[in-house]
Amino acid sequence: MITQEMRDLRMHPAASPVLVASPAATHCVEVADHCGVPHHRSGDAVYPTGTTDVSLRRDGNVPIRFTGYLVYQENTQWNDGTGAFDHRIALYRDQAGVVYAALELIPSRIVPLRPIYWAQSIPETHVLDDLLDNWCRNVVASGLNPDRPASLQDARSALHSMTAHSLRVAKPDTERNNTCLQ
Amino acid sequence: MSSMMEQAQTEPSSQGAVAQFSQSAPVKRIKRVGGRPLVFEGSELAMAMSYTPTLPYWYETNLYRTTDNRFVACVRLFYVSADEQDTARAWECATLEEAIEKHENYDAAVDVRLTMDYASHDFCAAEMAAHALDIRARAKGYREHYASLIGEFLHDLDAPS
Repeated sequence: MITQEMRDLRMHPAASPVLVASPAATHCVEVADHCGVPHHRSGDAVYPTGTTDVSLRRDGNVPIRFTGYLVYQENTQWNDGTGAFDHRIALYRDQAGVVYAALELIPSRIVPLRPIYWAQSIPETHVLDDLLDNWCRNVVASGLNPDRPASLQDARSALHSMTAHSLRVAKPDTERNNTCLQ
Repeated sequence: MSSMMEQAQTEPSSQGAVAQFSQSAPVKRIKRVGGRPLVFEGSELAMAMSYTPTLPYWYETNLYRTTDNRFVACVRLFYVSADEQDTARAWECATLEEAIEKHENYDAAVDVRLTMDYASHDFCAAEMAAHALDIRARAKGYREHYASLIGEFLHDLDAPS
């Protein structure tokens, strides 16, 4: 519950909500058709029509806020026998070209776990790999039922396949323009 | 769940009782762990709660604004079990940012309860190590639970109304 008085106090300009994929999707991969920022001949960047104010929720911290657009997202749903988990990975770019990664694990109501949100900027592609590795070890491993190692393996392999795709999408402009949307 | 559920009692303002038509805010009294209750006159600005049906405890965070334009940050921990004692921690702050920082910097590991009297037991090294691991795991659980709530709270603060 956030009162209007509180919002007024924050004096924050109106921001659009986080881009959220349909929770009904059990497996959904989206690569936006604007991975590479097009430029006019003058050199000015022309940002995609999907550019919006983005606020990435993250546990224990203020959200990361920027104006940018969704580059890539993948939603998966796991069930480890004790309950279902919605998992989402998304990549964004801001107007300065900085890439941000957002990771979410949303347990169903019967799972004794709070939803987990991570987000951080990705200055180098190896940072995304490290982030996903930490996510696998600290979140996926603790979130899923340890008595069901098969589901953990599935989750890990799914995340690592995402990593490969994510890294390809998040490459610098010069490289990405050659590889993205192939 | 103990009587700490009533820790934020709203009391009728004495000024309001005298001046029938005055617009004074209600007096709030927050019972605090290890300290005097925090009593102030003001209104609640924001609240978030981490209640999850399958977990034995949940947190509630509150932000208040006092009538003298100060801010109160409050973190409450509630237990489902009637045998457990709920707790509340509250701080009065000069600015809103300071109050938000109190929420951000709260270390939920302080809420881990030691259920064993370690002084009265003789532990071998392996037992001690096992207990240490258990305490670390519980501290991690409380921290992650609280971090999830405060992340939601801070995110909602900036979301459009």
